[in-house]
Order: sequence, then structure tokens, then C-alpha cells
Amino acid sequence: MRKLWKNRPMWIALIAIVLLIVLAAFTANGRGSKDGLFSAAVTPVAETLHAVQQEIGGFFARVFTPSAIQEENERLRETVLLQEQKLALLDETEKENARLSELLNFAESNPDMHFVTASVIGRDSNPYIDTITLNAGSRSGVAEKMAVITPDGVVGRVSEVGPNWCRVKTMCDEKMRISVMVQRTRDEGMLGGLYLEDGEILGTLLYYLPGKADVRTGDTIRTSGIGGLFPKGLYVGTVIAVNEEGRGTHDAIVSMDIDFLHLEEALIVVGVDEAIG
Amino acid sequence: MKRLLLIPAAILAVFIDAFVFPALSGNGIRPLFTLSLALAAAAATKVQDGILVAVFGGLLADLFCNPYIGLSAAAYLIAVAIMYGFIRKSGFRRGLLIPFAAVGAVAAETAILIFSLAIGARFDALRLLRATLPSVVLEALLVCPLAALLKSREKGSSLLR
Repeated sequence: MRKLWKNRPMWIALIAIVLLIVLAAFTANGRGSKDGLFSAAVTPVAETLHAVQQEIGGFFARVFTPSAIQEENERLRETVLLQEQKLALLDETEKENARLSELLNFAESNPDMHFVTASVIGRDSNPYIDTITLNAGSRSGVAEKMAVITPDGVVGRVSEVGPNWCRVKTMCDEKMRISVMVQRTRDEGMLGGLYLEDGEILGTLLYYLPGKADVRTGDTIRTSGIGGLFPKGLYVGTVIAVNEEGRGTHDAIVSMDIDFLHLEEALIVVGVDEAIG
Repeated sequence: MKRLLLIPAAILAVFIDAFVFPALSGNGIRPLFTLSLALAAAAATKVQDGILVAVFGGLLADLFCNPYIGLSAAAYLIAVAIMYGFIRKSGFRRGLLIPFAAVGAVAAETAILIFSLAIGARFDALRLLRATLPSVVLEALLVCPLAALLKSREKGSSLLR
């Protein structure tokens, strides 16, 4: 016993252990609160050190586990790419939905016409886009010379048909001619050929209006139905300039609302009820 | 080895415990470097040195990193005391350092566990097996090189033969 008592370091350690455990028990409930004097003194330092610990810990984590970080980065990058793709797809679907809704509305507002909806699957490389290819053909009831339209106006007419595709000669083709009329005056004429300025298409030319025809800028041009190729009353464009110089040349320039370079869907008129035609 | 040098060594050990090992830890395995240093100091030089490292390092860690002030210091002290007791009983044989250090480390982890349970923590046997046990093994294994390092600095006076 005396030997044990003489072991001073052990007694110091034992007392220290007891005191430390009492201290730990004492701080077990109070350390969380900032009311105590001790907590008030230590907490700010501890908080600062905690912030430093987070930073330094993060640094060591990056230094010692680069592969894990790289893997995490890779995984996050893939996730971001996937999400971006999904967003792009969603955006694309929304736009397509809007376009198709527009076509559907147009089709519903023209119940006397029968349409086949088709997407553009090919486009001429030349800047004037005089032909486009659609993904509907004879299997869908498409035949040559059928009118192709959109709510924004006349696109052109079918020039060649395959089983599941058709080629369309657009209004941008120099030889394309359609019978039209000025909606306001009912004067009839012929529309065809491009009006270019500095290589840019500004519109198509309106010919053969009667001598006393009163055509004005802003007049709406619609198909006249003469010739039977295009149903009567389809919107074609708006007069943007009137030729005041007289006969021998065109009478007016008509702008088309269709963006042929970005056209994605169109309606092929596969039939018209007799009452209208 | 001058005893004062143990203070920066303890500070470095706390730094490693606080910053380095958490970054390297996997499955919650985080050996207590300060505990290993305290055990190594007690074994390689004098038991007082081990007590110094245990109290100073433990309190430092408790003040700035742990929720209960004094718990780590008490646990480290218990470890040092128990290891020292075993070493004395064995006749200061060097070959038994790792098992004795392991006993000390187990005692420290047990003290922390008992205290945690006493203040209402939930007993997690899975964590004990998957994290605490490997940590104890690593702590015991760390004692050997640390003791050798401290011994190389201290000419002649070691607990171990």
C-alpha cells in the first residue's frame, strides 16, 4: 500500500482523470449554450477554428484523395451534362409542341381541308431554298402538285413523291407561279419569282393585276383558287411595295412571312371538300 | 528529450487529429494521433511525459474540437496509466509495447464510450466494430514508430528494455 502511495505520477494521473471527467460532465450540458463565462470566452475561438478546420480539412481531403475528388467531379460533370441534355430536349419538345399546336389550330380552323402533317427532313443547300423534303409520301395519301402550307402562308407544292417522303417546290423557286388575289379589292393576279436586293430575298413579285387595280402597301394577298392547285383563300403574304412605273414589269412586291430557312413542319393539303373547292 | 518539445509535438498531434485524419478517414476510422503520441511518450521516455502530452493535447483537442472539455484528456490519461501499469508489471519489456498500447487505446476508447452512453448517446455496435476497433489497432501500431522517434531524441532514459 505504501508502495502504491509512493507512486506519485499515478496518483496525479488518477486525480487528474477524476477532475477531467468531472469537468467533461460539467461541460456536457453547458458547452452548447453561450451563456457561461467559459463558453463566452471559448466559443468565438472555437467557431473560428472550426471554420479553419473545415477549410484545412477540405484542403487535405483534396490533396490526399485526388482520385475521389476527380471521380466526384466527373460524376457531377456527367450529371450536369445529362441535365443540360434533358433541358435542351424539354425546350425542343416545348417548341415542337407549340409549332404543332399552331398547325393543329390552323387545321381545326379549316375543317373543309384535309391535311397531312409532315416534318422537314431535307433542305436545299442553296440560300434560296427552292426545294425541301418532307417525311410524308404516297403511303400517307400525298400526291404530286398538292399544296403545302403553314399558318404563316403558302410554302409551295409537291413536285415529287416517294413512299414515305415528298419533295416540295417552294415559293422561292424562280419558276413557281400561283394564282392570287388582293383580299381587299378581290383583284386577281399571278405571284412568282423572287425580288432580291443585295442577294437577300425581300419578297415575291405580283404580276398581271388588272389595269385599274387598286393595290396598296399593306394589302393582304391570298390564293385565288384559280387553276385548282391551291385552295382558295390561303394566306400568302402582304404587299410591301407597289410598282408605280407602269406595265411591263411587276405590279407589286409581296413579302412572305414564312422563314424557309427554319421551317420545320408543314401541312400538305391532301383534299378539299367540294363545297369550298 | 526536453520535455518542452513535447508541447509543440502535442499541438502538431492535435492538428493532425483535427485536420489531417478526418480528411483521410474512411468508414469513420479515425485513429487518435494525440493518444498514440501520449502512449509513445510514456513508453519511450518517462510516464510524466506521457501524462503531459495526454493532458495538454487532450485539453487542446477538447477545447477546440470536441463537445466535452476534459473527456479526451481523461481518456488519454487513463490509457497512459493503464499502459504504464502493464509495462511495469511486465518488467518493461519492449516486445510487449504494441499489445500494451492496444490495451491503453482500448481503455481510452472505452472511457469515451462509457461517458457518451452516460450522457445519453445511443450504443452503436456496428460503428464500434467497423470504426472504433480499427482505430484502436492503428493507434497501437502508431505507438511503435513514435516511441522509436522519441527514443532516438532521448539518450539513455527509456521505460523499455
